[in-house]
Amino acid sequence: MSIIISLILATIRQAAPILITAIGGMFSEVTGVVNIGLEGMMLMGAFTAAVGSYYTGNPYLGILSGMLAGGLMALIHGVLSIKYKGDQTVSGVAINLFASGFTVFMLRVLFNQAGNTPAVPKAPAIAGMSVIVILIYILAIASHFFLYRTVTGLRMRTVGEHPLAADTVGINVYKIRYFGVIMSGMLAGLGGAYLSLGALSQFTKDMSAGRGFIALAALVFGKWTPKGVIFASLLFGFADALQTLMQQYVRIIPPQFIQMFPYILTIGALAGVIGKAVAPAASGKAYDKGE
Amino acid sequence: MKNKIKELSVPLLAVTIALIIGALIILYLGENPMNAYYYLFSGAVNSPRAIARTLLEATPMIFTGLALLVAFKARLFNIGAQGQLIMGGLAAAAIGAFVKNNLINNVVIVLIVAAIAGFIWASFAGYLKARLGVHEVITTIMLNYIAMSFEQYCLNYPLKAGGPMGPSPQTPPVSEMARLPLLMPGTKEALNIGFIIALIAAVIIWFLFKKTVLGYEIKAVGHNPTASENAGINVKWIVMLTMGISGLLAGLGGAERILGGVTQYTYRQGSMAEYGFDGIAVALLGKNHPLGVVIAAILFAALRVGGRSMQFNTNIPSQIIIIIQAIIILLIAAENMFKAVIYKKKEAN
Repeated sequence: MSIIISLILATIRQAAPILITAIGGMFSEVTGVVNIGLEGMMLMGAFTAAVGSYYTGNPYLGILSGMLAGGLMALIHGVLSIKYKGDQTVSGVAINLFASGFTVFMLRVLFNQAGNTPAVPKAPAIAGMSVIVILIYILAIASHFFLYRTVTGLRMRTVGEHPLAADTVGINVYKIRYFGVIMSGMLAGLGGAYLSLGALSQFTKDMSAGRGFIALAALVFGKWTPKGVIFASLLFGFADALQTLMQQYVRIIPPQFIQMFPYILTIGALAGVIGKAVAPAASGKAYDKGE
Repeated sequence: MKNKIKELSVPLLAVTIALIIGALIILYLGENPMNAYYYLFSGAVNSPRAIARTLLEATPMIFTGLALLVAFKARLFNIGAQGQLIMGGLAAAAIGAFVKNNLINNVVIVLIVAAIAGFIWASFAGYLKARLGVHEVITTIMLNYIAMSFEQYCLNYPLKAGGPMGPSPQTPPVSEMARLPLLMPGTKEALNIGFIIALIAAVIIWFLFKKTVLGYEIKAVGHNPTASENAGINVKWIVMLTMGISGLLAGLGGAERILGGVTQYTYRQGSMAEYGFDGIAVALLGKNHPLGVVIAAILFAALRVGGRSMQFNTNIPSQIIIIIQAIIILLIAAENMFKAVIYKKKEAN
């Protein structure tokens, strides 16, 4: 029984960073900008959150700086993909590469360390749950209402489906897209902040460990809707939690095979569901409003 | 000719600007950028040994850069070159170190098997894309993680030197017959025939897209899948085959790391570094042209080899090279930014 409860709690925790990053990716893609750079934005968020918490001694300021760092990365991605109509995938890859180089570079410059920061003040927990996890679930649920019940949400969806139509009725396509992209970076940064200030109390090299990409898969699996994304993220969180648990209790299967489980699940989920999933129509296409 | 110069101008500008930004970072850290860059460049080319080291480092990047190039031609983004590289390397190590029969365990057969391993691993992503419409970016990334776990499994159990209880997670060295001959043994660097094979592969890929029907069909699918389908091209087959060829090249790159001797002919932790991901940057910087890929791979290798000498001689962490590489790719993604600037200048004239 206690195993089941701890599995449920672990699922909720492990799903959190994937969930909020996927919700971020949703805000970007729903307006028509593909964001492969989520992984890098998350990593920058994790690093900057730890650094912020270290220097201010205040984990909340750390979380904030993590979100700002993610947002800043996203702004770069936005300028390249929206203003200069660059290849969104290439730009995202560059963001990921930049983040993995920059964080280790700064570890050496700031702390003269190659692998991790010193221990930093951690975000507090309520009833065993980090406040960041609680914040993440509140934001994820709020995102549903934001996307479907507010004017901005409606505009975002319109811009992603039919930018020309949106433009015709006076919606500023670029502005909405910047908003969506920057939000995606800030939320991915929050996901990263959970890793360094919620799950641990330090930054370790490459600690995002592919969660940004799993978030992308959760986004597709969740069909670009908040409800779907919450469900998909919980599923991946469960796979991850189960994987950790099995490594403790199942000795017959080598741990390396158990580690593959979430990734195999991702492929299986996408292969099984994709026929029914439709991306926002203008996703990945730059919009040129002409002069 | 004019077009060629224009084609070249974006990568050249991107590299120059990235190096300038790198210099500013170095300056900010209180070091003399000229001094740091002196160590960077001299560390990469100032002796036969340094050159051998640079070309050795470039070899797997040429393979993975070509792998990315082939996929890009069909508008496929093969982020999975790392996994295909691992699979190729594991196949090479498995046969090279464990098979006793020299009819099978010789360098030609081992290379072929490694290529097939890469081919199969990549064409699985191609199959999922072609048959089920699953985006290859996500599947190849997932396949990378699966390959990495599989690598750890192999190094800790079935392929481990001395069996599962062996001292460290690495394979035994491959047999003499399976090794790639060294090119510059006097330098004590493991630069090997693999570098020449990489260059030949670049020529073959150039020929593929310049002269053959298959190359034409791959490009056609990249330009317009619907029109290609209507013109009678089997698009699904081409997608799978393109991913397969891409993986084949990456698999050869993995085999070179094991058979070439850079890690004493064994497969160990970190043997494959991040060459699969480097391939992305190499193909982009090389403007998706085989010759460009070769030049870009050598440039990135030189930066990396030189970066170590820079870290040794100054206070600049070698990761600045990754930052410079990332800025190069960002600038190439923002190609239109240059075009806008160049265009405005011309108008002003």
